[in-house]
Amino acid sequence: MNPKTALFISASVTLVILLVIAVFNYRVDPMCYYNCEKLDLTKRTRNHFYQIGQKVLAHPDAEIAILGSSRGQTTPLKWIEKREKLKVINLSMGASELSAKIAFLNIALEKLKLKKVIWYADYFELITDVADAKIKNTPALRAYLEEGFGESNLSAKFSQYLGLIDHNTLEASFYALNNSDQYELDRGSGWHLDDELCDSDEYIGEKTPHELQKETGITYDTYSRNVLKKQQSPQAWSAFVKKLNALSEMGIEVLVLIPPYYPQFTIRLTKDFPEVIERHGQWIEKLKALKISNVKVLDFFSGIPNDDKSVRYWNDGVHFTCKGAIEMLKSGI
Amino acid sequence: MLFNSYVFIFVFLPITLLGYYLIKNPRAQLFFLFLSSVVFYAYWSTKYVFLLLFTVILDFYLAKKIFNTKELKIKKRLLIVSLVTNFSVLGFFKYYNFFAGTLNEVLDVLTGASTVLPTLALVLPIGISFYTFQSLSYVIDVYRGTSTAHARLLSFASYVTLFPHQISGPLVRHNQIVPQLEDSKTYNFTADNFWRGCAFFILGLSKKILIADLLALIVSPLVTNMSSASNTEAVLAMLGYTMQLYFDFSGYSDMAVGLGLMMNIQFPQNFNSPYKARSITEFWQRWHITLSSWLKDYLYVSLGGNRFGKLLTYRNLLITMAIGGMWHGANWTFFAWGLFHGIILCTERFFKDRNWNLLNNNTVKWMFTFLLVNLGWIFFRAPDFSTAFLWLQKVFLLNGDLTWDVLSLPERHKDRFFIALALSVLLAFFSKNTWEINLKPSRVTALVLGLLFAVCLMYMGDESPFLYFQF
Repeated sequence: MNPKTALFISASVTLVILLVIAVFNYRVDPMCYYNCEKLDLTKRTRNHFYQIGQKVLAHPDAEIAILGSSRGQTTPLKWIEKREKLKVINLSMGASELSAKIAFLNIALEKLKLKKVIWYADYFELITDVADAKIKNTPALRAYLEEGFGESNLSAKFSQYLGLIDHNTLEASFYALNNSDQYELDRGSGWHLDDELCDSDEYIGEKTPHELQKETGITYDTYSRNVLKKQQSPQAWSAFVKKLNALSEMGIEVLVLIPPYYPQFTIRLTKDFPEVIERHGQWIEKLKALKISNVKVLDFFSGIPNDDKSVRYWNDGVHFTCKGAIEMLKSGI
Repeated sequence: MLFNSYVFIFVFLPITLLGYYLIKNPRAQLFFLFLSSVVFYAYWSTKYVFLLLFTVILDFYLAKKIFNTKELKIKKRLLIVSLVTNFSVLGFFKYYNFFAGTLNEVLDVLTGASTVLPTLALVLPIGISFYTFQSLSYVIDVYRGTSTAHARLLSFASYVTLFPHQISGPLVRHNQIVPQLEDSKTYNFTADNFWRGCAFFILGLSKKILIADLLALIVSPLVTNMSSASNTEAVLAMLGYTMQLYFDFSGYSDMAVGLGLMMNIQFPQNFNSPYKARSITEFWQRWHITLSSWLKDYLYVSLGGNRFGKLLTYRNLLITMAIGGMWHGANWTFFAWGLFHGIILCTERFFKDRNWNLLNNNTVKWMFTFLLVNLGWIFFRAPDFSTAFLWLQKVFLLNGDLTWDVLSLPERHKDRFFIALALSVLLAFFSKNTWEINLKPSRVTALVLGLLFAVCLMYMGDESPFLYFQF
């Protein structure tokens, strides 16, 4: 065969495959990037950020919102509801940074009558002042981004359309087709936790001691090398303070809770990256120095009360159990 | 700029190829190629591109001077200027902090002295080990009289900076590339070479994206957390890294060869199914061939090679391999890896000299060689000796508390890791390598390559740098 013909066939095959995949992904739109202009309860998507927005829509009676990363996902909501006599919604999501937390909060402020916000403060939430692509690329969520986080530029647009040929999108499309109506719009992570068990002495945790050790090692690798080494963004800090002030002006009570890392994790981090721990200290001092009415800062960075360093309190190096969450929340609720 | 990035494939490469073939004057085409290569490097650093150009200009004029000088003493001085300058630059950027750290540690132990030499926040110029060796080999060749001095700076500069091999090789020789760059036929579009170039590029890209990167997702966290890894995970990390390194680096080399072919420039073979080797001597004839031959021609031979008796041959082998190890990075673990291979090479030579053949069965020989290669890679990959020894203990079940779980393998990467590992084993042991595959244009080949390219593009969003970029 003539090499030019072969080149033509190869190029055509590539183009046709990519075109078919792009059209398929566009039609299914598993991440809600192309056909989701508004938050809609009937829409089924693989975009977890969009799902959080849907949960807010599904529970208009919630008056307490929890904002956190994956570290806020083990909060037993029913325990808080019993103490506060108010409905709770958990807007915590894995890898949630400041931009996402503020976007979720803006949705909640628009759709709910909030009285209280519990904000799990993470060092890493202030590292970037750029919103996650899953928010930026989703028209229904982009509208809730704080000014400065969601500026659309050429590369953002480019990445949005590259998403049409991305293998992750294709896998999500197939998953979406096979599981079109499979998710529950509950009150968020921690809704199904047995609050009484979590608060009791019988609570034994979900992991074995061996798993805790291993997973502490794994999270240490991920967090110490890829996440915590970076410096916080001054712009993100300003946006954070601005939002606390705005909540205060609205008369909404805010509880800023600073959780610790697993003790062994912190010891290793202090030894390997003392500058990271130093930066954590500076950030905590700044948080504690905030003088905003209605805003209370609870610092547990040096440890969870009554923590026995076991699987009762910890799932891995950075994630505490529901018991750990209760022990910290007790002094604020 | 990474070969496995959208910006390279859809912006840089099309512009370069279009310019290269649309310009119809060979001299201008060569200049355009040189310019493209400078832009390619400057995309990473506009500052360090001047260091690259400094090396090129210095060595070009030193070689010219050496060639035109009749007096041996002056030739020697000029060679020393080149060697000292090149090694000073390489040494400063690559080894200064290592040297300072080691010296401080030794003095601390011996005298209790505090920091004698401060460590500096140095950025390692990308590809410095490759371009320094390539440029230097030219000066040495001219000094030895095995090559004449090239007449044109542009040809030499284009050879050293040539973007396909600029960052991670193959470690090509000037006498392989400069004549091609000076031949006007090189600049005529040849559909056959272009097709083969595309095929090489896509196969290399597939090796990198569809195998090496999927293995890396599991290997990296396992190595970093070797203390909590189970014995099964330690073995998986060893085998996974062995395959990751091969498919990453040979993938890069295939892509470089492919890019060269797209421009009618032929690069030498860098890998020849190294994991099929039945001795470490044979392994080095198949692995990173261009570096092995560079070390042989410019280091081993300079040390005396095998010309001064058996004992000195062993010494020369050990020195060559240890320095070859250190070339890969400023860490004693690389030194240990080089020395490990040097010792095995000496042992094999010792046996060969006496006609001793302990392992008669080819399968046993292959398995034993592969095991040794794997053990060597542990030193190559481990960040320090304590990790390396812990890893070895776990592989050989010598740690006290034996465990067999695979909990450290992230759930979402696990399946892909095992598929990539199985595929890599099949390809490395039982299949033809890229140079052996029949790449003649046919409908089937075109379809397969088109499909592979599409899949690679779909995975390209997770782009990751090549392992050899750090060397």
